[in-house]
Order: sequence, then structure tokens, then C-alpha cells
Amino acid sequence: MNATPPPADAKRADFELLYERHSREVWALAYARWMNADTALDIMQETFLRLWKQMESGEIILNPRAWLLRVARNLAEDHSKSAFRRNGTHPPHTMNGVQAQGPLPLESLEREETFAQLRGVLEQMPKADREILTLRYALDYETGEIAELLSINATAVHMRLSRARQRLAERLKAQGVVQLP
Amino acid sequence: MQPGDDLDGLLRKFFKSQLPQPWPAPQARVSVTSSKRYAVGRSLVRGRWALAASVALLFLGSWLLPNRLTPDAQSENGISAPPFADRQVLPKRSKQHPGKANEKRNNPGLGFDERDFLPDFDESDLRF
Repeated sequence: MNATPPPADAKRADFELLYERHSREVWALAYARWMNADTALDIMQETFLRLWKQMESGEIILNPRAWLLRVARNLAEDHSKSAFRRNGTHPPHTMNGVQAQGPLPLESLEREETFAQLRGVLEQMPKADREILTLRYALDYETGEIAELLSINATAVHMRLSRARQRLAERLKAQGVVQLP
Repeated sequence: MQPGDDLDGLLRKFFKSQLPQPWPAPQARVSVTSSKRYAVGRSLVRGRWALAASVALLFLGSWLLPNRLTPDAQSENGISAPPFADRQVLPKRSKQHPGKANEKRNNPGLGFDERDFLPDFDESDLRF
């Protein structure tokens, strides 16, 4: 017969389960907003910190996933105000320089250059398209999963994904990205 | 550029390269930095309120204080007036100088005469 775990341990277990299930998609939404991995990580960790505080205070969250996504979006928007104060007119991603610890192989350099061009094109796309692309290609979410998370229907996800890929291809071609790594 | 799978491949490589590796473990504790920042902010707000209250009290005091120094305000407040403000006439001495009555007759407007305060002078006082 298994003993019931104490409330503190149960709370911790619930928290870790929610983290395992939703931390990546929270990160993905934050990344789609800022196109910066470090910023997205900060926002994701802050979101879960707030979740932990809510759980510690004894508040019951009926829909944790919706709560997490809403808090993450709000934090991502709030980050824009503080980012302007910290970085002035420079967007955050330009502050992340390539940490060159030695001469990089040619293949890596070409890949970084292609990624930089792709990042530039992605930043010009609507945030909603970036969300779909990030969920699809970073987390391998299917159309149905994306539709459920974003609260839109699967047809809309499919259409927006197709249009986004077409726009990307055209712009990358216009920038001379002829050979993909 | 080759369409379809090549673009999918590029996008997958790009987005997966952005994912933190390894994925960080959950951190379920209060951020000291944020709470400290919050505490510092709160103390600054309290300090500013205290400063504003002090300045307000200073202005209030400086406005109220002059009102308390007027004569009317002094009598109302039980503050004693200077000795010269309300002078009483001293009673006359019984023995007056013979010329005094004439002077008073000639100068009826005088309320008192300085000579009323002078000691009576008698020739006998001059004897040694």
C-alpha cells in the first residue's frame, strides 16, 4: 500500500509535470516574439517561477496551459519596454555576438551566414506566422496540436503555414540564398 | 533554390539550433534579484513619501507661525505684553507744588504732569 505523499512533495511533482509538458511551447511562443533564444529562456523561466508562486500560495489554476501561455505572452510584451530601456534602439538579438573561441570551419561559417539571412527574413514576418513556424519546426508539432495551442482551427494553421513557407522561399531567393546547408 | 524539403530542412535545422541544449531543469524558488529589486523600489517610494510629508509640514509650520506673533493673537494666547504697551498713570502725591494747579488750569489737556512725579521741594530741604 503506497502512502500519500506530503502536500509539498505533491505540489513539487505537479509543478515538474507541468514544466515537462509545457515549458518548450512557452519557450516557442516567447522565441517567436523576440527571435532570441536567451530572451525566450528568461521569459519561460519567469513564467514558471510565477506558476510556482501561485501554487505555493495555494491558488488553484483551472487551465494551467492557458494560464502559462497567457503569462508568457504578457511577459514577452513587457520585455519590449524594459529591453528598450536597457538596449536603446538596438534590438536585443544584435547584442548577442558570435562567441568565436577559434577559427570556425568554412561549413559552419556558411551555415551561420544562411541562418542570419533566414533570421532576417523571419523577423519581417508577422508574429502569428512565426509562432506557427516555431511550433512546427522547433517542436515538431502537428497541425492539430498547433491549432489547439493557438486556439484556431486546423485549416487556418495549414493555410498560414503554406503562405509563410512560400513567402520565406521567395525572400530567401531574392537574397541570393541558392544553396541550403 | 530547391523548393519543398530543402526549405523544410533549413527551417528545422535553424529552429532546432535555437533550442537550449540541454533543456534547463525547472527552477522553483523565489528569485532573490527580483525580490531585492522589489524591496529597493518599495524603500525608495517610502523615502519619497517621507520627504514630501516633511516638506509639507515645514510649509505648514512656516505659514502658521507668523499668525501667532500678532498682538491680538498674543492676548488671545495668554502671552504677556511688553511693559511699555499698556502704561498706567501713577497716583498723584498729596503735596503738590503751588504752581501746578495753575499749570493744569492753563493746560487742561494734560492728563498728567511730569512734575507730579517729582518729589516735593521745600526750602527747608536746602538747610544743612
